[in-house]
Amino acid sequence: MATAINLLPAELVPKGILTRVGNTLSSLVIAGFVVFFVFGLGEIALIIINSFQIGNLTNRQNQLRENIKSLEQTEQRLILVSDRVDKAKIIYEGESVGKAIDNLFKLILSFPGGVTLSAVETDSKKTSLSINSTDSTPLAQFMSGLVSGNFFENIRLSSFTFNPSTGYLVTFDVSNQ
Amino acid sequence: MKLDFIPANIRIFVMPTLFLIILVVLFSFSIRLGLTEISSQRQEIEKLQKDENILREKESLLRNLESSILSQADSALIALPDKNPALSAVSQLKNLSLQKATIIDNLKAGSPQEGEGGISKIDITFDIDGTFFSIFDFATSVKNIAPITALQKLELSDAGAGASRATISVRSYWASFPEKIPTVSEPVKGLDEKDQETLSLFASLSPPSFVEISPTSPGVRADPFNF
Repeated sequence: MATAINLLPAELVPKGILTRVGNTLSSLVIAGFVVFFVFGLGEIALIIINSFQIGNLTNRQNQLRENIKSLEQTEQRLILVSDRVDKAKIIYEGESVGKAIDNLFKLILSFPGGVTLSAVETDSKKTSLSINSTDSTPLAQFMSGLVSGNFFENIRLSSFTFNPSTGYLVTFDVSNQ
Repeated sequence: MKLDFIPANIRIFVMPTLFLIILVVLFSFSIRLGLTEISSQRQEIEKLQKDENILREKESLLRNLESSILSQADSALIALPDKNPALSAVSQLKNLSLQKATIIDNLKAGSPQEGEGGISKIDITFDIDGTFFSIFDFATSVKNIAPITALQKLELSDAGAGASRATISVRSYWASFPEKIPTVSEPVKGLDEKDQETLSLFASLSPPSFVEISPTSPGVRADPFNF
């Protein structure tokens, strides 16, 4: 009967458990290298895909830039129009005398009979209006209309005189501020 | 490789451990370099996508405006020219005066003034004769002429049933051209509803009669020796 004989000296042979651990470690290392290669290939693939995507995006952007360059004149006109519109808005916001005159004109058109305009002075700081009335009735109608018509937010009676020959002369200071 | 000097219990672990160390080093390099590269690519892709959206919007906006922007630019420039419009403003005021059955005289133009935001102005003062109704009609119509002209002052005295006289001061504006044009990649602002309202206002302004004088074409010259 054949018998297995180990002729190696005992001190050259590793212990059984250590052999098993060493084999396990080797297997793990081999598995680790496999995982590493798969991971590495995955990284390389992702980098290549991203590079293609970057290339496509860059090409599309270049095409868009070419298209926009061909519309340069339109863009310049748009810049000019926007500039003019913005500056016009600033001008119109600061403009107050024109609005006062518009309101004065509406007021004058609503004068009752017997009331006439005597003088008007308006600038950016104030507006004053002087009217003549031969009789107190139309004067009262005018003053009632001035208040109820909402032509101006602030109305100040600055003078009120009566002359038997010319009638009433009344001056108002009005404003919308 | 002769490793006989190493005890057998330890020798069995030498090669696996060595390879394990190599594996760890390779993994750490791969992760660091690979993930850094992928991360920077993702950032570049996001930026490119964002820029592409901006460029698409800009192209679409400019294409939509291509047909209408020329007339809008013309009326905007007539409303707010780039040079002192005193001459055309005076011409407009005289025309308006005729339309409203008034007479203006003592026209004086002040010195040009540079204001904030690149807007310049000039004041024009004049006397106006007419009925007080026609004077007021004139005054309320000043805002309807181009270049943009705004009433600054009105003094009317001795208003009666007949002729009245007033002193009026108006202000005309102009502004230099914008100097900064955005680059191709920069977004451009479109025209919103309020801008369109202002553009409609520009279009409604009465333009000066001499906006552009076209050259006359040459005619046939008469033969001086053969009348």
